[in-house]
Amino acid sequence: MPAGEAGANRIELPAQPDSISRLWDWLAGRLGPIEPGPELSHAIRLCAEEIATNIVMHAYPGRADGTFAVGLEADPAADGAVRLSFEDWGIPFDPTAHAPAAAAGTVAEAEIGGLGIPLVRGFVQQMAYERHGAANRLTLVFARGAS
Amino acid sequence: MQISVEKLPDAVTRVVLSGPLDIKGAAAVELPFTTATSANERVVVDVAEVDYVASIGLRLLVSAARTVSRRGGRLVLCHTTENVSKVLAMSGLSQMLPSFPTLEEAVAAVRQPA
Repeated sequence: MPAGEAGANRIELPAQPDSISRLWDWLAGRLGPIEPGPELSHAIRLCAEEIATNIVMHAYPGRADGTFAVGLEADPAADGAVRLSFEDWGIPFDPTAHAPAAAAGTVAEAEIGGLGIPLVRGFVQQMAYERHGAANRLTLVFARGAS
Repeated sequence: MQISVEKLPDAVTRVVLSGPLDIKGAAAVELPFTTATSANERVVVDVAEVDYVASIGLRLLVSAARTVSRRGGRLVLCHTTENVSKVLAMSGLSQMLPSFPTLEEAVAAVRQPA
């Protein structure tokens, strides 16, 4: 089993920038057989990378030894939905409680931070968070054909 | 991620980006992109070869647009791919980063007074 693989449908990665592209490589390999199509693939990649970026940048301030885990569930025979679950053991952060970014009127007054979570919100059908002990657990659900 | 810069007539600068504008791509082009855009007032960013943009890439584009705007100029996009258009619309940045289907229309837009 390659380093980082915690099971066929779960991977654990260091909370480091390199892990963001490694995550998509892993997901792309597992999404292939379920043939998600270009739109759903794009939505999954974008959301996975935004959440992973958030974890890498913010979950473990002052620490270099943090990790995070990502799970993938897809059952085309059932409802066809694709579920991505994220788990990290960093500081508590609930993306579902993150206020949507206010649209700025002009370029000059634009607030350029905080774009990632609103983007995820726009591309997923469901987003659920729980703090479980020392873990942040986030689940994203993508409905086939609805992205 | 690759970048090239071309000077067009009427002091228009065309910046061509190519590749995914993700965390790696944004880091790779940040310096040359910022250098190319910050010194100019009429900037067209051609993203025909960018099929993926993450929020970190949007931040790079908005930051450049803001710098150009503060100098009294305009930065626009052209040849936006479907994925990138969708992300721009979803992020609410379509007005801040206007996009044109052709280079000619984008050039005409940046030649307008800001």
